[in-house]
Amino acid sequence: MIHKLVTMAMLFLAVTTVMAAPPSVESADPVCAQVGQNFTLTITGSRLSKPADILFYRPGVRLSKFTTVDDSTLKVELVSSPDAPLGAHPFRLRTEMGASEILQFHLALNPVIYQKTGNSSAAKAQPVTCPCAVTGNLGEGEVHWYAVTLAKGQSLVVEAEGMRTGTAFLDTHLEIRDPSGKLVTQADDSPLTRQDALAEFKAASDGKHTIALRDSNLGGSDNASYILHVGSFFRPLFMHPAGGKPGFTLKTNGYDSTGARPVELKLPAGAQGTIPVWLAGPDGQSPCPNLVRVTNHEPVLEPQSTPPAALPAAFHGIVAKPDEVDSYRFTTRPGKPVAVQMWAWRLGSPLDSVVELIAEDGTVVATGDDGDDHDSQLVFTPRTAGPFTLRVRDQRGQGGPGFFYRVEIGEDQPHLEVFLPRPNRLSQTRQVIVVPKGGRVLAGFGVRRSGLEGYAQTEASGLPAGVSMSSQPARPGIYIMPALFEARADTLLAGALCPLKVTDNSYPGLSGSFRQVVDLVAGPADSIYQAVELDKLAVTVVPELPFSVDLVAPKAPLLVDGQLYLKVMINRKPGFDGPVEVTAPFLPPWVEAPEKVLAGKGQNEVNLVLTALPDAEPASWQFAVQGSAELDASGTARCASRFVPLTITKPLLQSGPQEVIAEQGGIARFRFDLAGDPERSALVPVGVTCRLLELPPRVADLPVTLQTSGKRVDFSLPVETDGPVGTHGNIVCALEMNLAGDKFVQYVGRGSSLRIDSKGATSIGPDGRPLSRLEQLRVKKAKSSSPKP
Amino acid sequence: MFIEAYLLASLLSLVNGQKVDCYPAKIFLHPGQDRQTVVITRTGDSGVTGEVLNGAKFTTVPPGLVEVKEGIAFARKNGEGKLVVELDGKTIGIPCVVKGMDLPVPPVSYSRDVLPILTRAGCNAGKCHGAAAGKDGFRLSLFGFDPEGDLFRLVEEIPNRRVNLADPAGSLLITKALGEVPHTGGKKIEKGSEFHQLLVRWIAEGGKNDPAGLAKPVAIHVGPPALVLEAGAQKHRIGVTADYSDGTTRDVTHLCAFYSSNDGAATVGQSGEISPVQRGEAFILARFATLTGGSSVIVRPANSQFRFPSVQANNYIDELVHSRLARLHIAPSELCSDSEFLRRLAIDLVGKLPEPDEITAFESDKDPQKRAKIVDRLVNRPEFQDIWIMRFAEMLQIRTANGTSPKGIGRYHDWLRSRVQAGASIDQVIREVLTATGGTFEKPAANYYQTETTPATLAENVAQVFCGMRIQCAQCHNHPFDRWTMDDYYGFTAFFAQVGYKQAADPREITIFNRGEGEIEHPLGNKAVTPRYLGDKDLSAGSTDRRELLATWLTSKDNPFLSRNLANVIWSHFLGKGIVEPVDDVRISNPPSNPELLDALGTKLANYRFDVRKLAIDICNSRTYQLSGVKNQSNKLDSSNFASAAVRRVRAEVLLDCISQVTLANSKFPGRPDGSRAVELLDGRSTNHFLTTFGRSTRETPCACEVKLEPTLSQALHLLNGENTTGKINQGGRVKKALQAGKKPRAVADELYMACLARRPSAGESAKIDEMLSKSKNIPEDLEDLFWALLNSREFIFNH
Repeated sequence: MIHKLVTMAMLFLAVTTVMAAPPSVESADPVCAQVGQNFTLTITGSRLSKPADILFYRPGVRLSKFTTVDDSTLKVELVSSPDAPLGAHPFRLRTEMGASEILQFHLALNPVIYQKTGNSSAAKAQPVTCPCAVTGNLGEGEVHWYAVTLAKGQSLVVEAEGMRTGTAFLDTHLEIRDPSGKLVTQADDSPLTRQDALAEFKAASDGKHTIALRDSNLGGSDNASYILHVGSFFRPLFMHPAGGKPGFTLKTNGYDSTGARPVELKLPAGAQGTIPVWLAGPDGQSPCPNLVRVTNHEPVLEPQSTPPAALPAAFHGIVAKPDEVDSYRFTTRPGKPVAVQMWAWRLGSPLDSVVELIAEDGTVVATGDDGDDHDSQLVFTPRTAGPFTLRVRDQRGQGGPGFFYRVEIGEDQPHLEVFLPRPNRLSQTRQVIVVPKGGRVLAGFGVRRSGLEGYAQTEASGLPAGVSMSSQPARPGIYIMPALFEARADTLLAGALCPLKVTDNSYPGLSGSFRQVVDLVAGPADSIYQAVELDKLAVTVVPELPFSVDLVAPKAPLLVDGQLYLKVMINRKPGFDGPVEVTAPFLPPWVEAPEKVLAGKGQNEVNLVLTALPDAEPASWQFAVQGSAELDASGTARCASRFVPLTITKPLLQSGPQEVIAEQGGIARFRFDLAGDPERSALVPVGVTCRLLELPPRVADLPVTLQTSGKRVDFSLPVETDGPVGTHGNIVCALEMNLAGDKFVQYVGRGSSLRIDSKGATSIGPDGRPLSRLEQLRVKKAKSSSPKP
Repeated sequence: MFIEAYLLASLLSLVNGQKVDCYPAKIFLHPGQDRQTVVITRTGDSGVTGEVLNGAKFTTVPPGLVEVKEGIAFARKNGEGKLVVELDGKTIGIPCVVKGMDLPVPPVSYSRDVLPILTRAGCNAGKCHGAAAGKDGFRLSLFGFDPEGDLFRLVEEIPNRRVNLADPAGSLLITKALGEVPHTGGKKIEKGSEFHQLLVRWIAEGGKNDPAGLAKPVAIHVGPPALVLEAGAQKHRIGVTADYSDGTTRDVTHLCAFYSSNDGAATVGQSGEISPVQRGEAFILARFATLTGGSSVIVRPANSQFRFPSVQANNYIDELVHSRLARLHIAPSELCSDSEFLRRLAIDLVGKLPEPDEITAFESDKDPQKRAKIVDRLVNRPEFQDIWIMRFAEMLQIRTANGTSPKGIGRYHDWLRSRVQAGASIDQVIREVLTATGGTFEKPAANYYQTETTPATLAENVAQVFCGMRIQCAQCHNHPFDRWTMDDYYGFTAFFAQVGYKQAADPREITIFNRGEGEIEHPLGNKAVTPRYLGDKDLSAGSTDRRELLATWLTSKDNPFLSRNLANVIWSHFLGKGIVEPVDDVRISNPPSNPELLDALGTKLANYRFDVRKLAIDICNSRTYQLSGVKNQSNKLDSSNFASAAVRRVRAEVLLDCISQVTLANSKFPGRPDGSRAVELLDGRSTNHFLTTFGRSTRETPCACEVKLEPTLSQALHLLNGENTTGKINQGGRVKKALQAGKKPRAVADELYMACLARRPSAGESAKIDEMLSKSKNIPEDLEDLFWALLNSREFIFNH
């Protein structure tokens, strides 16, 4: 009986400490709600039965209530404030076991209407009232029809958000028919909305007009959601000029099909970069934003009438006709690299830009076509102050009233940001930090740096209470920095979106932040159609794990061209004896480790062998390992060790390669003369075991012991009578040492070889030394050319 | 054009009611050209030609200028006058000039003499030393396209071996050719022959290349250009004269290699003697240096009493076809029946079968112009455009390839459709395609440059699709059976040398633009090649987009390549065979079966501003198109002169659409709306098992051969067992619907016959149907069996 109780208690303990995986989400439906309204999202996925929280990346929406339907369906009631920002709101669902992948919903200005099944033909078109945002899912091959009643002369704008919903690949196509059924306009891609269709027209007669929405190739899928904005609102196709300085009022024009409308925009004082703006006109506010640049560049409008511009400057123009070339002049500081950044395609312009920089003597000093994206960019270092002329044209020779652009020119500035590298392409795997209570987890931050050469350091803020982060600096030339998140044992299960700050000690005063691009809709190869940029790191605290990992700080160094055996302890809680994989995710340069070391069932200690290649640099590092275990079928639990110091030092001893010749049945005699810095040689402990590695078969592997202060290692290895004839290379001598219980190895004589001759085939030279092949040939030639008696 | 270009046929006279032609029209003998082949041809009332070899007497004025022996005039003294041919008491004078007889004999020329001998002897043929790897350690360029390289390999590669300057007669070149030493190719020239002596003399004179600036041959003329011979009649010679770049001419008959396109009709000897064998046509190809020419030969039965029947010519097409048939002694077949005509016309024009009520109405129409009226009606139906959009899509190879996305291809096809529907003519479409600049989504015609991306392939495709010429051979060597040289090939390729590609904004999209820089290198000499139109000289493109120049040249009304080729393609669609066949293999050695007809159709099409509809009306209204497929005694062996209707298997897309039409069962194709027809499929790669089995073009290549019309066993099995017969019969339920509507079983059977075969059951078929119905225990099932049998009949799957 007692035995049974103990067993049950152990089982109970095991169950309470078993960690399940975080929730995984597939869709949130509907994808659109009206701003200022309460709405309910139906989230589908797996492991949704114990919701804890929603982590919103944008303000203005709060969680009201969870209703769990089952483990794969969850209803979430949300409340939008009236001033919540329009557009996409990315979020994560958090349960006790972690946070989900990114999903998003959109807030629209106008009332939201849901698509009704059956609107598959013009005759069955679903009536809608302007203005509205219709939302639905477009299945494969489906065409959804909507009907809107218009008065003669009334304008209608229909804008589809398919790809922009980020749900699935959906390349929308729109057709609008008049009351007689005649096709009056159709739309597919546009420079502003990319794959999303934007159509507008003016009704020529009163009556019911129909709108047909489909995928361009009659594709679609169950997850392919769309938002269809229908109304007579002002929808600028572009803005010109499309940028200004922060804190200033931008006097610009919004252009729709009827022409230009003057618009004044107060640009946020704290803004830097590209921001969305929803322009409004007498007919109403645009349902979707235009993009505007906010930077410190001094705006210059085409045509440039002033003397050459001083940098930084932003030139705004339009390539209004085919084959038109626009020109601007500017001066520089000699020797200071200048960056030219075109902003056209990224702002919704059809311009396929090419930029050229022309010196005063007419020579072209730099040209740029497509940069990292479709807009041109280049960096050049002027040798004179100029002035230089910037030329802008379209690569295809096209032009038109909508071919607007903004070119930002300024001295190249250093840049810094931090992100989480993705273990898998086009995946959200491991994009959330999951820290077990009372445990630690390792994460590797990537650092994007340009123009910086120092040590980059990251700090986190807003971490859940009881969670701390310590990160190792990213050294110059290394883009990854390991960081250790640790949660105290008394930490509550929680989650937070945490800002990160990254600095580089070579450029004080400059800092960067976290920027993570999450792919939502992928295209061919590595292309991305829709992504969301996150500025905060998701950190969650999950229940305690049934195991932890400790790395014993090594007392011995890791020698260049050597090995160090690290001791890893697996601390198991009662009831857990499953296998644990130990990995070293972050290794110093030119240091290798096995992909993983397995601590088998019940095993509490393993060795992790680090190998420093000959190119490794002597340095001190903070080093940690991570253990992982499959606690149930749904995922992997990870727990890291603390950082321990790891020292890489120069070799203690060195020796050159040996070329040894032996006959079958004979003795192979290797002799390694050991040399080294006397101070370092003195560090060699007593009792070094010397062993030859990579010997051919049937040659005895007989280790020898190096005596204290020994300067030489001699091996006499019997070769069996059928030892393989030929030259066997890559033989190396391993000097195995111990220091305070730590095993470490020094390799010497790398590249040694053993030539095995058949019995009696070895030629011996006058000095009693076996001859090499070349020496044998020379002897043979000398004999053949000598006069015959 | 070929005949127009022939300069010699100028002496015409009547001798005893017969026409006599002498070749050449002028004799010009000079150092290096001391002979001239003279051919006297007599043409009788029947049109049969024969050579007068021994019956004519030759003198000169002034006397002694030349001496004619065995039909060859040899120079005897300097002077200018006439060669007088006396035949049956009549005389004809041929202008004759002899110069330079007092000058020393010029040295043997490497390019004028040696290389032609090597070609004539077959040394540089593909199966001998002209093979890519050469033969037995010795390599020559194929048919001598690389004279410099050949000279190096003859003289310098192994010094004093192949050409031994110290012992010319002992050179391996000589001893091998004479067969005096072991030679895989055996004996190629006779010892002591003229060729032997020339080769030895060339070596003795130093085995050198020609001095710079030596005149080069620029054209050859074959005379007579056309012959009509009787089977088994005596041989008839042809002569070949070459024009040189310095304006001189030269008889090169003895240096030519001759080939017959049809040994069954006529063979040709190595001296150019044609032997008529049996009724048929042959083209005798002559090749000299890198030039080719030829003579077309008609062989009639001996002593034919043929009289061409009195048949009406509906239009110019019939006149030209009848003229040709009359020369061939072939009578056209009778006219086909109204129902045959209607079925044939509907399949060809709109890709559909006529409905039973349409057939009945047409048959009962007494209007003598009813055929012309139905042609007019059908060509104005939208389905007519569908057929030609499909054909153009094949020519443009619209398919997903080289990373083209379904969206790009969809837009490409939609663009083609919208352009055709908007009334754009072919030349406009071609111009827009060739000059397309922009993204493949925003300017869908630019997809043309994504389906094929290399300048060489683009040039080859343009030549093949739009000009009907296959210039691919000339990429590696001068075309052995056509006029195209490597210079032509790379010059034409240079039009595409500056096409730029870059990733467009959408990851699926590519932007095509004019780079304005970049050249094609000629593999011989690695020099940049200047653009050159086919059959033209190099041109200076300057900074103009070269594709603009090419498009302008290609679509010019005066450019016969495009109009004749497209006319041939259209003709082939309706008649089942091109006037040049295959339609994309126009070459000197594959001449049109009726050149006058091809010229006329090409001119018409150009004058119609490339409106397919108008030419289709001409063709369909011609008596030739409306002929029966039943042959008569005179045309039973003919398959190339349009003397009877060609029985053709209906092409894959149309056949599937016809099955869908008669079974009332739509097909569903991926990415296409319900109810789409197979002819509307936009992507060469989107297909189904039926279409693949029946040979739908995958549009992988521009070759017209991609559309396969040959019946195969798998096609038969597919119809017997496939879903597209039984499945569609069940899906459409035509039989059940008709019975439910109250139709009598026998009326349903008649309707099935009319729908499938455009006719009622014959008496024999009616008797069997009545018997089947009288014994039937399951009328619907038995009628569906009948339906299945009709769909499996040859009469259904063939257009006849």
